[in-house]
Amino acid sequence: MRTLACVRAGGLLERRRAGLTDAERLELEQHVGECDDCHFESAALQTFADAVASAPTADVAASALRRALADRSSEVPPTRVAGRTPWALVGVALAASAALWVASGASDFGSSPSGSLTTAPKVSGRVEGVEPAPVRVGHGSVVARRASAFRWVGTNVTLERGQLAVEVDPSVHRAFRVHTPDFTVLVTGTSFVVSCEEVRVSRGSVQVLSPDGSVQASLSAGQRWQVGAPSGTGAGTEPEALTTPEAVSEVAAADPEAVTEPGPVSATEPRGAVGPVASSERPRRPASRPDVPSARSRFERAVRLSERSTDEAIAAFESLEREGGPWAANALFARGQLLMQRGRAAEARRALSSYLERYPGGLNAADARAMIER
Amino acid sequence: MGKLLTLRRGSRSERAPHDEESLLARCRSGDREAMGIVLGEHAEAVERHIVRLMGPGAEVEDVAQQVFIAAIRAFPRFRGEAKVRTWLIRIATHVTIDVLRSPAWRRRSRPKTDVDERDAKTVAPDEHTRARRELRRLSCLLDELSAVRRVAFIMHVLEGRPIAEVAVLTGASKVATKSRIFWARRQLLKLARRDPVLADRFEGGR
Repeated sequence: MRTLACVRAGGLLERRRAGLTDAERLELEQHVGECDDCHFESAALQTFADAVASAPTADVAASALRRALADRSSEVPPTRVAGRTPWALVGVALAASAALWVASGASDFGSSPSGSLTTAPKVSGRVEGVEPAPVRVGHGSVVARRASAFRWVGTNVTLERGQLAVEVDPSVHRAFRVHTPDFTVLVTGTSFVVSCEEVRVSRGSVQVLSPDGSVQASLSAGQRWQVGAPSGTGAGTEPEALTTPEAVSEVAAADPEAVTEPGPVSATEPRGAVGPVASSERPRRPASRPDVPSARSRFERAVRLSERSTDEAIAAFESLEREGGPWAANALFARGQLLMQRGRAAEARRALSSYLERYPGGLNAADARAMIER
Repeated sequence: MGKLLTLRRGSRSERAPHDEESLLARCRSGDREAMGIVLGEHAEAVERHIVRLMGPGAEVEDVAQQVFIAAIRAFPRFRGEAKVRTWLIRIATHVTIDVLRSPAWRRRSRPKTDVDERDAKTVAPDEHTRARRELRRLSCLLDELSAVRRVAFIMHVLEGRPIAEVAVLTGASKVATKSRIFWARRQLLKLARRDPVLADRFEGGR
């Protein structure tokens, strides 16, 4: 049975190698001699410590060092300034990274992806052009095909153009998303190819989400989904998969292009069709909208505007709300939040209540409730 | 780099402080030969550290190479406030934690039952073999811990490094380090008690 003395003995056992006083050593020895549990711990830890101390080395350090020295990729760029780090730049970079991080909703900072054991993945980045080697993104790897361009933050990949072959490690059990202008592919572990027009699954299964978060299609191995095909198979709805306005605000400040565009899509409109990979029909490109600013860009502008003029920002948010569409929910929540920040609590509560009424399952619903209760 | 560098080990004490400073200055300016000399002196220590943290295996060389690449890249920012060895061990600790966290490492981790069965059916013929088996068994148990707990536990409890040093090397606070060590010890001993061979050995040894 564990006693207080056992707890103390456990602490002493932890420190035994780091150093005990004579009195502590005597106390430990006495206790270990009387207590079966602690005797076990003591013997086990001693054995483990001996095993670790005698762990054999293969004398591979020299060859590893030679290879590292011969590796030209480890060269420091010549423009780098030796000595003191420009802390202001570091601060700006950290702030921008934090903003992107929050905006992405990513939660797996520090986790390493599959692939090579020894290369730590970057948290964010951008690749343009054909990248024959897999780029490690979170717990997945991405190969850029054709003239592709994509960027990523955490486990959120945004495909700008071209086609990506994606492989996601299923053992991590974390969401991995590929965003295109017209849809999002949600996956927890599989292998698939995605372009701006279609998704082909070679292993596992994925969900194709519309920008408002509703499920467009559930695909399993061997199936394909295309944008704009006549029949739709989307089933069920999910809360909005949009970033929070705080995140959008931060991203807009750091990088106006870093938020995925939902696009003016009706959640009820069928937008895709599932078919076998063998289908040979070419995907139809979505119609471009060259002259009208997108809802996303207007939302971002409103967020930026909120720093200078609250009233103008509120007017911009209200305009988005009136139009409906996928950004209306975010605009309504952002308006409520902005009003709350400016101390206009009554108006803020009305806006947030309206948000909860209209989007009870929205991604910002919990935050809205918390703000109302505050 | 046309020629292979000759690694010189253990020659640090032979150099005057002035030479040491000029050598480090050359390293900071990107001189590969100087880096080869400085890093070569600590290469064995780095390898030993990695082996202790992740156990012996083919991955050690890759991880060591990754550590040296990181060190070469970081040398221009090395200000000499810490000893080169401490700085290198810190880099090695972080690289190893990254590797231990990776799904690729978890996939290659030894299946515990396999080792249990093999060991349970075999009588250890000598001390050397027994030590190897204990290390392998320990590695299996350590694979069950999270990377940060594992590293903190090994460095403090098994290697005897002070908490403050472990905290610095892992980039965590002292409180977090203590907590990691506590939970790692608890989890490891729980696993050890369930292990038939270890339980038999340590309890039967009384």
